[in-house]
Amino acid sequence: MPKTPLTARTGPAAEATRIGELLEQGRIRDAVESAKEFAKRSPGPASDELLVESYSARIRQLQAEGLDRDARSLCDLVERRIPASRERMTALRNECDLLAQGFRGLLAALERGDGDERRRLLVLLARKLCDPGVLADSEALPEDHPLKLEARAVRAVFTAATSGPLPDEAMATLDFVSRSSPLAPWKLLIRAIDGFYRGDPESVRRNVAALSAGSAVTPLGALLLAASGADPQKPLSVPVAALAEKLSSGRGTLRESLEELERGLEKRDQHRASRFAERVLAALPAGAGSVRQRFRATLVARWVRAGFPPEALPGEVSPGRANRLDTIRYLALAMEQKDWTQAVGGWDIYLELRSLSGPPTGKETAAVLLHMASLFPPSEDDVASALGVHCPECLRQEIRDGTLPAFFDREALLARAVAADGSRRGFLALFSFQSGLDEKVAAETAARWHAARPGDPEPLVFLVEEAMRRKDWKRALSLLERAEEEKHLGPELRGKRFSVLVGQLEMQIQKGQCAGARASLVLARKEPQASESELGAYLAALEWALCQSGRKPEPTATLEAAKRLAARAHNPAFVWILMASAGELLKRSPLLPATILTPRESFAALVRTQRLVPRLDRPLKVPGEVLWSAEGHLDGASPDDLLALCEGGGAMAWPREAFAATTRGIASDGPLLARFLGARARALTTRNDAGPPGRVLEILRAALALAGTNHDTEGLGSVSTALRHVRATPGGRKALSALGVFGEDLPDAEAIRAVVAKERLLPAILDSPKLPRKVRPTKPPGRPAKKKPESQREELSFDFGDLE
Amino acid sequence: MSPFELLGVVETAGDDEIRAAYHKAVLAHPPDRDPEGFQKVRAAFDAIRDEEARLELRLFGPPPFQSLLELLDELGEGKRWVGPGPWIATLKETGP
Repeated sequence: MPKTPLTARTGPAAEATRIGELLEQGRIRDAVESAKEFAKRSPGPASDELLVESYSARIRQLQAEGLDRDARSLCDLVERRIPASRERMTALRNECDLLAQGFRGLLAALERGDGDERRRLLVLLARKLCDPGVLADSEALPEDHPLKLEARAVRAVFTAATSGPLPDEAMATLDFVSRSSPLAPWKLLIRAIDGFYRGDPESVRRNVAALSAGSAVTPLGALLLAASGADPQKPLSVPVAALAEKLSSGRGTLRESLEELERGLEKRDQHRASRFAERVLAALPAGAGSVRQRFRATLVARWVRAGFPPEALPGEVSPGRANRLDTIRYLALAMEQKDWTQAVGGWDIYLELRSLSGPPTGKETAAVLLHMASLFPPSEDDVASALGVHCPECLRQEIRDGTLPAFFDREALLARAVAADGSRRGFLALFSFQSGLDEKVAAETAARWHAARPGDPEPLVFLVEEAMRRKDWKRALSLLERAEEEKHLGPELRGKRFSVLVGQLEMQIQKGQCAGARASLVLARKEPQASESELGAYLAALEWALCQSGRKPEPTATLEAAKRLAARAHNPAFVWILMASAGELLKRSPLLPATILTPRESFAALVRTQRLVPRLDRPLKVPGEVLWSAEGHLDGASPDDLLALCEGGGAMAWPREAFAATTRGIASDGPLLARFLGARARALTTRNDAGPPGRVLEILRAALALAGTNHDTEGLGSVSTALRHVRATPGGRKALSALGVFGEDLPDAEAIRAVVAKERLLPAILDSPKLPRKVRPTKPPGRPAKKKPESQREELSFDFGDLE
Repeated sequence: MSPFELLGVVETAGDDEIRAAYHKAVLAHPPDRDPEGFQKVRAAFDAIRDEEARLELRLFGPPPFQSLLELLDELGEGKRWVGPGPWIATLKETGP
């Protein structure tokens, strides 16, 4: 490829631009050299013009430096070499003559001159006036000379504009300075400076553009354009760049050092990073305390990330320096991103050093200890594994015998935090940790917590629940009463009171403690939950059972109670379920209803039962006939009701009905599909006692993937419940881990569709071996169930016919 | 700018002083007229509103910069008033 001729690449226009830029940047010698080269290469009027321009700038530079003789000689030389420049050189020589006499001479000439001469001198004055003070204090001008007055006003406003925010009215004091005045460029400069400090780049641009090219203040225009962002790329001469650096509090140096530091960290060049980190620290303004602190935190974090040794941290960040406590803290925080074991160790060192500089407050110690504990992996197995120990028990042993540092004992850290400030946060962390390991130890902590902070609801809830689990209703009620007395009974605990009273009532009915039971019933009925439909009906059922407990059953009262129950339940199937459940307390079964149970009623009763069970926190006894009858309504049930049946079936061991409901549920793709799949897997787990079949796991994986994709938290909860059941089956845990139900390779949309399609084709009914044979349907749906044998009726005789 | 600096209080300020400074800052940056400014004020207040929050900040703060150059933004524009001297000296140096 032929080489492009130099002239073609440069050309007069490009050269003119380049030389113009050099002149603007104050690189006058370079401009002269370039112009000479260009003139040699392409002689002609254009290159001569550029040469004269550059020489003129050089002559003015010599004038400014006081080298008048040199300036004059250069004028002569240029005139000889380029005769066309005579007029311009003559003017420059005259300027030299005037300047040789100083400003005094120039001003004297101005006083004498008139017309064109005066105008020329004013232009020359504007070009030379680097300081309005020269005119303001000049003895060559009388005190009331307009130029002197203008210069004084300009000097005052210029000083104000460069020393602080300029008052709004300040510029008005310069209104009398006319456009033709040699001080007019100063007026524009002051406006541009004000625009720069006010953050108004438009004002800067406008005023700088109005400056004439030859004015003395024009070089500052580039600075203001660059610094205000109006023209950030504007090249600056060396002195102007130095002023810009002063105005920006050394931002240029800081930026350069930060960029170099970044490069050093990125290229893992420790020496370079260290050098420029020190420079950044040195360049940070003294008043920027919080920025300095944040920079130190950043530097330590990046230093650790780059893999540099902490002991080599530079300057004030060095761990050996006065700020070492902060540095250790930053190091520990930085380590948290890389290695929790080192981070915990770092915080331990921090606590040790902190105590050397005076005892830390309990709150501070507790906050650090809790933070340390929060860095551990959630599972104790993972903690042991991270520390290269076989099992959690081995870990505790190694800590006890000093093989591993004590700060790896999470429980001890939490206990220390509790001891340090006894805050709710500390107790909660310790209690939550212990709850997952040892219920008894957690209960002891809850008791201590409750004693130390009776106003905290968590330990009280736990203690009440624990008493409820042990069926220690008396203790549960006493805890609740004490909390009420001390006005610590929050809504969560208030809700528990009903459950406790019902539990106590059930126990008293069982034991035949009629008086106590009646008192409990009265109290339970005063609770707000008693007005809810299902709970109120259950209380009525308990009253019905109470009338028959004890030594003397009360037939009339029993009948009245049954009537009240029927009135509240509005559904014979639901009445039967409630009676069967309440009768179970007396180890008796009620009579069958005299009316035929319709599938719709039975289904509705099951749905209501499902709603009631979580409120009572205990399963209810559902007669097989109700289950059987309800199956006849599956096709007409809404998805929500089907799901309620699935969930009730799971909770109360009706796998056959739950499974049949899931068959209807998965028949169409709806938003509840993942939950139906979860319930289906759960129902299927009852089929095989030898362990979960592959089909169960396949369904669970599909349900999990589907719920995850749809962000369906309730679906995930359903899958999680099903997984708990699978895990509880013999070999379930092993099968789950072997098949990786929780693995990352969950089925995609197509695979999920395939699982659902397969399930839709499989038999709709589950033949559960767990259901007692006597409740299996033996008749076609819609037929009335036969009455139970006499032995099951005994004294608890009740016929729905009595109510009709 | 740290939350203390943003609200114009010293690091040892108590809850009441911080709350008073917050109310003053909200008046200067009302949410309806300056939502961005209000967000900043609110975040600063939340970071230091009580002793626990301040302890948290002191122990686990400040957050490192995402990028080192973010430091320049944090320092602000850094426009310094240097008086007339350096301006005039520069003009004399650049020469007429």
